[in-house]
Amino acid sequence: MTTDGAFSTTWLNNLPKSMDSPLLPQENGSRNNCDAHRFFTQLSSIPKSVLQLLGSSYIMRSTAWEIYGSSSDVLSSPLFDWVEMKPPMSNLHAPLARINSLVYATCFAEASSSSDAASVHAKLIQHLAIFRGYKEAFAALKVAEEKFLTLSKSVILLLKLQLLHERALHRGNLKLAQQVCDELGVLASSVSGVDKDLKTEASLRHARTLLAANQFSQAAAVAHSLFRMCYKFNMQVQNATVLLLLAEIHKKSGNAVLGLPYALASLSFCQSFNLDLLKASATLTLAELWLSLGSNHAKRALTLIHGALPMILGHGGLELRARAQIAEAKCYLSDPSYSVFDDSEVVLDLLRQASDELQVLEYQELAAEAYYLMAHVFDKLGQLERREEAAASFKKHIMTLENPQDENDPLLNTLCRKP
Amino acid sequence: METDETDRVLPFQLQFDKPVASQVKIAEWNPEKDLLAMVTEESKILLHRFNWQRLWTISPGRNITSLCWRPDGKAIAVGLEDGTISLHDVENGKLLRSLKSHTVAVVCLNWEEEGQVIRDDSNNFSAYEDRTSHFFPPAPRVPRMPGVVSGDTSFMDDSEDSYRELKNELHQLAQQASNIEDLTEVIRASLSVMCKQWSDAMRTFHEKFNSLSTLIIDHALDSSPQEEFLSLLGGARTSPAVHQFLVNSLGEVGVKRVLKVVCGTAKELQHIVLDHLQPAAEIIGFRMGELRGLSRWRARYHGIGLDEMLINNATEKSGMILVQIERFMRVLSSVEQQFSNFFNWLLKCIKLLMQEPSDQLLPYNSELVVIFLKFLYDQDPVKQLLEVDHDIEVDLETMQRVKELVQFGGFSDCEYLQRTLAKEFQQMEDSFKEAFLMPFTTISRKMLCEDLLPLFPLPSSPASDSQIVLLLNGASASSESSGDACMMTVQASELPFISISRFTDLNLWNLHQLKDSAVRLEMENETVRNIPHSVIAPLAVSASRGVACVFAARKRALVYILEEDEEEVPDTE
Repeated sequence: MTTDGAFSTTWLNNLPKSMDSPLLPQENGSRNNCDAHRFFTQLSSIPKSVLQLLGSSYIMRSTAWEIYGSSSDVLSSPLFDWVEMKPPMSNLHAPLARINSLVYATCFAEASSSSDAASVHAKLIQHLAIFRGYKEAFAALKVAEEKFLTLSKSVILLLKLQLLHERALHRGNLKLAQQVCDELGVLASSVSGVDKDLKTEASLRHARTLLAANQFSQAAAVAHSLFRMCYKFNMQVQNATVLLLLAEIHKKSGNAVLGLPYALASLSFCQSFNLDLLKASATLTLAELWLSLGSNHAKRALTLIHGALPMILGHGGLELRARAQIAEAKCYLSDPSYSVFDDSEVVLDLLRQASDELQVLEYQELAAEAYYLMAHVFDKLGQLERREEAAASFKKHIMTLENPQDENDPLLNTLCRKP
Repeated sequence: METDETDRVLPFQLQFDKPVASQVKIAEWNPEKDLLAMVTEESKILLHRFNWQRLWTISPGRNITSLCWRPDGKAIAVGLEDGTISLHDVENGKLLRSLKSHTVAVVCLNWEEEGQVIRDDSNNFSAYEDRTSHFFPPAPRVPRMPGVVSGDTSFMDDSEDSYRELKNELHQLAQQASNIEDLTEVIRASLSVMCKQWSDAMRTFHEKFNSLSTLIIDHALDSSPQEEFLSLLGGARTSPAVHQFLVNSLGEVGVKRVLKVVCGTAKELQHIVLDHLQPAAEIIGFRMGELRGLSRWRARYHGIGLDEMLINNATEKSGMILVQIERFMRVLSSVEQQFSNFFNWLLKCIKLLMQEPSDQLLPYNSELVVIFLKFLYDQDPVKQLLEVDHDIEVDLETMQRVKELVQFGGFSDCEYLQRTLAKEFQQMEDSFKEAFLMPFTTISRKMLCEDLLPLFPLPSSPASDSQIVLLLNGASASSESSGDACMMTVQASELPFISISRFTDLNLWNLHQLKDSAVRLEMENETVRNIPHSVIAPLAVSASRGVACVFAARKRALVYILEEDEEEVPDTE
């Protein structure tokens, strides 16, 4: 039982608001002030520690929906660690992850410790960035930064660096991406075996930056050493992610045949650890690899993509969705039995959807590709005006990709000034 | 119709001839065992063994219009006049499940084996997997209303989840939608059970404590029960009214009884939330999320009317209900705690008033007693949340937080906390209805009736692949005779066979053409046996056992063995 007086602050503080009359509400009117919701917020007699425990079960659920089936060391580390660890690609059930975070943020705000609250907000912002683009995410980040000013900013700072890196990669601002990536690496402790997650993430981002800069052999070298590390420490989610990255590196370097075994290995990792979304994304990479082997594999690639689509569309972010749509459109276009004249809408609808989503995400390279394909289709159809329109969009995206302008970004300035 | 069978061996051996209690209108042999299911005029189903021993009788209460054994013989499907189809166990006639998809009489039933899924690569068939069972334990069932003992309150079938590979988009959608429907049913039932139980408990509480108000008036005091209790708590004075109430009218036993009722009910409610309401809402959220993925696959699912906007809306609503459930649970637990605290205090007071030792009693928190008297004694926040027509007043701080969360991707409808749990459920249900009505209307518009074939049971049954058993009633003019009928088998191979194409134009039932191919049955050429009764419609033939059951107009059942004379069949002249 709780001791006397433990609740006085919660309800006595609010008493003057509800009534000026004596304590007991036998008079008219003031009775309405008691509502079910007051029992939820002010009059709740549940001790705070119990609420905190209950609340962290929701964070746990939310995280579980993000990284179901990851290696055991993730779960054995203290709460704070697994809350912030986030492999961006293994989101298993996006709606439920978000809803559980929201339940926490709505119902446990008074009882929660500020670090828990910050990580839940970080989760929500992460979700925004993946599903609604960077603009909304950075706006929310700004609010969160003000809200959690007092906190040692590690969760929010980490999130900011992650978002900045992703956006820089998408915009093609590789110099900035490398800079942010280095800063992320500095956050980790220099002692070996500590902050493993952070070090893995920094190195993974480093490899991705190198890949975006077409430095294939360096990217592969970083990825290989990362894989050794992850394998040694049994980090299964990261294992699958790194293998997938290796497949991507080979795909982009034009060695589709070399990429296939990596994609398949990643796929089997995902299968045995129930990483459904990562599996869908590995399937997509596999399809892209098959497709790049020639048009006679288009059917096989299309079947693969269609198998993964429910998962990708339901739980994948803007990037993955757009990639899948472009790959699907490419499958149709390279299939000899398909004719644009018979059913151009199939391809055009996919490309339109993809380019819309990529614009929100500011992913210049992929958006340019979508417009490129679109211009080709319009050219074939003889719709010259719309062809020119698509071509102009293509050009615009390519230009932005080659001359990235981020200098006027206030967020960036604050970052660069940071020690 | 006269045959001189005196010089011939009777072709079918009569096994027995038994009277039946009432006229049989449908009869079917079990395809695997020697069991005969019969439906009487009074719509009773009787199951008899081959030796006419009765196994069980059931009476569904409505008019039975058709009957069909499952091919494995372990269950029988019964079609009723009101459109219900129910499945009964062969062992005891127990109802296994029932469904009602329309309100028109079911006149004909047939089991269809689910065909193999045709994997056509050009069609890009993709196996769809229902992931729910990977993540969730079996779906919660409808909670039982206490006191009501009934075996058949729910027909939900566990095997529904085992359908892994679905044939097409519509099937996937239907699968998810029907699962969601079942789960909403769980939530609805949980809410109504909780509402009922809680108001019962509260009535008990108020019945007991209302006498205090009366006592206060009787003692001509100008105060309220809360004030009296408060002064008791403060130790200022114990008014005679409270003393009389606590010691005489309520007493220790009374307090304990009310404590048991109220807190027991609150515990019960918590169990309902934890075992039924919350899991059901979570699985709904999961399934809606999966559907949302499908709804985004425009090329494939837009055509069947899965609308992304509507599904999005439904997903949001299923998230809101989870927040609401969390809030309800917290209010409920805190109310339960305060009630038990209050009763513990009362117990202590009674002991003190009776001047008995009170040291083994549970401790109480006097601050919570004050809160209880002020906010809970004559108000009921739990009931508020369970009722539809209430507005919950949300404090500014919470409102602000909810609004701030919108920026973080929270629910764009900031007002949802002002709704009660019951109201939120209603809205969620509406949004589901709207989302699932769309495919319904879209598909309905696409369906065109191309062809109509009349379905009616044939008056003959195939005895085996090659034989047809016919039952013929003699057309005798004299009505007082006992009637005269015969049963005969016809070799199916001797009959001409014309396939009627379904897809040619409408005059496919071209009678002239069919007439041309009719054959005349010559009694002498077939295996025939006379039956000395006038027979009526159902003729039950068991192909595997070679037995036939014939019903005579005068309430008799005759079982014949068809098989034994198989060897004699060749020597028909």
